[in-house]
Amino acid sequence: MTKYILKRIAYMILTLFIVATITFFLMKMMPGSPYTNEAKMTKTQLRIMNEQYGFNKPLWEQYVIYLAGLVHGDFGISFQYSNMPVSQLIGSRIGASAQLGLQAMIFGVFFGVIIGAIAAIKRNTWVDTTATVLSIIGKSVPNFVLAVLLQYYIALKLGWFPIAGWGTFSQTILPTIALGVGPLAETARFVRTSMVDTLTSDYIELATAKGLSLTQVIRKHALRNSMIPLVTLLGPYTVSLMTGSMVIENIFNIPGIGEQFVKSILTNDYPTIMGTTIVFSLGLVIVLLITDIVYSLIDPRIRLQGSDA
Amino acid sequence: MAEEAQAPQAKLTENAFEGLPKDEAQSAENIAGPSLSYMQNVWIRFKQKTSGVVSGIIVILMIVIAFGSTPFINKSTLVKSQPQYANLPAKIPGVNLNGLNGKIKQNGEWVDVYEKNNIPKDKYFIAGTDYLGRSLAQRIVYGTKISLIVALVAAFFDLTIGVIYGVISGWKGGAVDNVMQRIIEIVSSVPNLVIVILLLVVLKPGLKSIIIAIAISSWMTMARQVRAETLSLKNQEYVLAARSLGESSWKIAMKHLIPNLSSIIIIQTMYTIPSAIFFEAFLSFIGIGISAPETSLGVLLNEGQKNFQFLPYQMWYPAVVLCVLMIAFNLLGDGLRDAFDPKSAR
Amino acid sequence: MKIKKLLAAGMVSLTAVALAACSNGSSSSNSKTINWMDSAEIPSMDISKATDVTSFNQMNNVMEGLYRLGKDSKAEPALAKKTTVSSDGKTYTFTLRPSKWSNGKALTAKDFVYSWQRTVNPKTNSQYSYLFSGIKNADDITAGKKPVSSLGIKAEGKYKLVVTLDKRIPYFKLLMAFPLFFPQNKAEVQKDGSKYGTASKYMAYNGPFTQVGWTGSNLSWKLKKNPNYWDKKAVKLDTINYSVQKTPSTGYNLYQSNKLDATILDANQTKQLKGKSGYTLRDTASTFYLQYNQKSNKYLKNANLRKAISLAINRKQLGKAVGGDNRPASALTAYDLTKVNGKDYTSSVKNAYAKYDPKAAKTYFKKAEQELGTKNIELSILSDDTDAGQKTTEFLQSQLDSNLKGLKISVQNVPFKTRLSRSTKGNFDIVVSGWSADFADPISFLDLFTANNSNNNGHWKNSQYDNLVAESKSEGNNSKRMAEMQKAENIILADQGLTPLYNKTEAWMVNTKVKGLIYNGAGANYNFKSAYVK
Repeated sequence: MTKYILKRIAYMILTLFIVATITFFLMKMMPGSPYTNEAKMTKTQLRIMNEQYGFNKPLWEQYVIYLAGLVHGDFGISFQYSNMPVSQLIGSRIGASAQLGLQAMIFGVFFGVIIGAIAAIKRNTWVDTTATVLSIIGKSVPNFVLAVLLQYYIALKLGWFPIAGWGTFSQTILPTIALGVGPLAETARFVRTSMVDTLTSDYIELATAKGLSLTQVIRKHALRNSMIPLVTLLGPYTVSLMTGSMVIENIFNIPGIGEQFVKSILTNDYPTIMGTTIVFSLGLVIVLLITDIVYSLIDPRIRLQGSDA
Repeated sequence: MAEEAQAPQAKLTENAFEGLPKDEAQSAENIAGPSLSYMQNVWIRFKQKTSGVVSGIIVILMIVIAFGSTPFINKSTLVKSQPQYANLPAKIPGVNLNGLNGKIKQNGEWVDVYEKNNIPKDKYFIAGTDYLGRSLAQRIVYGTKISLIVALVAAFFDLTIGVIYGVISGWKGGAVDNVMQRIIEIVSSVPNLVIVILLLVVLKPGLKSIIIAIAISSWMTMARQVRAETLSLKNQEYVLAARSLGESSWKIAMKHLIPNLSSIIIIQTMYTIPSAIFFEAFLSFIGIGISAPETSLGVLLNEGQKNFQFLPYQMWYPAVVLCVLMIAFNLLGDGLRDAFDPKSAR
Repeated sequence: MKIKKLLAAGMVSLTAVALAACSNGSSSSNSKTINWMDSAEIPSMDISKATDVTSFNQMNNVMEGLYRLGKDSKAEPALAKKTTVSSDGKTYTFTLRPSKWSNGKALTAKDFVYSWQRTVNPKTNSQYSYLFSGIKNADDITAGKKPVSSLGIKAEGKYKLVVTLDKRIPYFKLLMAFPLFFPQNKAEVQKDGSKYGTASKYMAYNGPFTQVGWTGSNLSWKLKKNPNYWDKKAVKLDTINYSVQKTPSTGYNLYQSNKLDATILDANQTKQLKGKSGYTLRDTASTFYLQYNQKSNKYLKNANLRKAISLAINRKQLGKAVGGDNRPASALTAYDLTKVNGKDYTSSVKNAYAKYDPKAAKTYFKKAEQELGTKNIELSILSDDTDAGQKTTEFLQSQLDSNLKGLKISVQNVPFKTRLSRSTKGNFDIVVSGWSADFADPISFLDLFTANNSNNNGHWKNSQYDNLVAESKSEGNNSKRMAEMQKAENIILADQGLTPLYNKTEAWMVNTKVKGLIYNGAGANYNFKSAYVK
């Protein structure tokens, strides 16, 4: 097991290295300079500024410096906020994104499991059909459309929740729903399918035949077994929550890194773009690592496969 | 032994049996129904599920309308603006339903915008107009076409890169498989969308860039699934037989693997399509997607959501089209999955 | 059953949340608090490093200089108790009133000297230091040719400040009201080091308000009344709650539910809300215009082609399509920037090509085609990838395409800074540029198109224009100076060296209870010093 985890961590580092490299060279290919007022600055000013950002050095040297900085968690200085280290910028914003992402994930998985399970138990009834239709709609409506609708109808017209902002728990509800509906729909579909599989399998029939009540069967066998494969979906969910955050944070005025990422792209803030990309990748590889470890703990077959490879 | 002894002893004479006529003997062995190929079976099962069939029809209709519109709606019609007709709600000849008769709700009252702006009486826009007075219906049709192109291209890359990668990896096995799997593992733990967004910033935003971006990011799931299936097929008896008979790998792949992989491939493709459509909409929404004068459902949605409070129709129409498209592809995917794999349809 | 329990728990927590949300929905404004918005984060609170409107707006309210910009862009004495100007207009002597920094330290003439020297020092990386040009030795210092101490500013004793200029600057007082020229507290700058100006707590304030709660990248903060301000009696508000609203629809939703007292409107909101109570127009003292690359594009050297393009654009509709309630522009200088003899400066500027005349446009286009000897002219228009930028190019493409048959237009929308850098490098055919005046004087615009100005991206050249602009700078008589500038502007417009499109006018909804607020298009926009809630 330790060997397996070590191996996974080695892959993780390799992945991050590749991401860092791709990002670095993509950024160097980007047109435009970070300066707002290049035209109005004297040559001396430009030279000093380039020196401070290290632009006067050859490309490979910049690359080495950049990688060395990464190892120490130093992403450089932001271009759009003067004197602001990118690590500090990301640090001050990642909390909101992480909270929102986690809430959306919990919301999605929790209600997804419930809806999926109910649909499976009551399969081929109107309950099932309703759940299926809802989850397909949930999967098909883009989250930014949903966000606009929620904000207008629930927050402004009904006044149930704050329109935008970040700070109180009630402000997190609407963005959580907007972001969580995708995973919810996916989970519901997934749980329904896998639970139907379980419920019709031999050992469940045996358990029923033994005289266990439906509740016990579901609790002891069906639910647990259908939820194990759900762990594998955490990776894709993380990705979709990350991309979703870029628009949802914007609409609901949440000081998170998704919104920051879009802004740094629009303002050519390379150090922030690179830093955020790496943080996103780090988040994803960590989730994938946890997924793999958890999964191999639950299901030994995976562990065997993993350690042969 | 004991049981055998208990069986009553039947005493049969020779003429207790009567010979069947030769042709009848044959027909009893026959299967009652017509002999069905795998695909025919799939088709029958597919037809049984209404949602799948309806979705299929919707998808085909949308494709026909979107691509059939090409002679009528092209870049030059998209460029033409008529600012005097800006932001008009839908007005359909012969329909007198608030919202579809040129009226829009302003401060709780239905106001005839056409009348207010002195638009000629015989001017109709069945889905209203945008801020430059361009017909929204035309733009939605064109936008749907762009979204579909994006989707089909994504499907194409799924089919080429994804399938080939998966088949090679699964078939070759051993070291090749190992390396290829490591590559996939690394590539898929990179947040592709993020990289793709960066790529779009470096490249010129537009359809081509989005297509490249999709080519890079869409094939992994397909490759994985195809590989897993190939691994199991490879050890099936008929494949072993073909191999021991000395068939070339290429022939085996084309004759045995691909047909047996077809269900997985088709189903996976059906799921790639909606996510590609969504992806394009997302990029346009954050402002790095398709650029003017071209338009897509995502661009229209982004435009519409800004005006949602005053001109809700500008978001509703493209949103409904996008949702219908997504739902149709999702349901079609479900229908096909159930048809190919009857076990899943319960 | 477990599922039921879980479901019940979920429902309970949801209701609890809903209840919490309801109790949270208290309305905003008490009589001494207002809720304001900006559309972008504050990039910096360091006076020497700020480059954007958001930062300058903040500084204008938490800092104070020699002058403060009052109503109608009038510079009113602030820290300067007494000002004397030498007869040649090149030496200013200011007597400061005693005042304090928010950290308790006394504010003296040395703080001005320190601040200015810090800004012009090339090591500081001030991107705005060009505004110091004209103050003795400033240009040489930023170019690294002279030491910082040689700058024309001296402290004589604690409260006397002497500024020497290279040449007369007619708009010098307006400059003094611009945050770039405000004082800085040396002790604070040195204490905070590289953190100076990156968060509320790393700043020393001397303005009507102090800033609280800005962490460097967050989306909301407060301005609180400054108890150390010299004129604190005049300050009526206790708190200004600031938040960043990036989506106009969200902003308007918040305004409707009284969570904001002001919000900027986008194109459609403008159209729908025009004339409603609270609807407010804000001139931004800016002009958007087309620059033609006359250095590398062989077609655009042809004046008739430029005239044809200008005549083919319906500016009124363009202004509406872009958003806000933009005013069609016929002059380079923004409308309502300054007045000459009671009339707006631009009313005496002539531009024969600013009207929408597709017929005349065609005639000029035919001429151009003949002169150029080609029938297939292809041009691309470069602009920002912002909403306004995209709408501008979309509209221009559509108009030029339908009014000038045979002209092929493609568009390129790139991020703002990429657009700037491509403009500077001359990597464009036609570029949509915008300029917003830093101070209320037409020279801010006219300077842009002198032959060697770095903002003259199209490299349009005219020696007569250059001479007139140079003359205007040394002219002591104001009305003569204005006449010279108007003449220069007529020259560039007659040749369509640039094509003005519109003056950006923002439309806002502002709570009608908020009074006494001062807004100016040029320089720092907002002055909350005397604002109050009725």
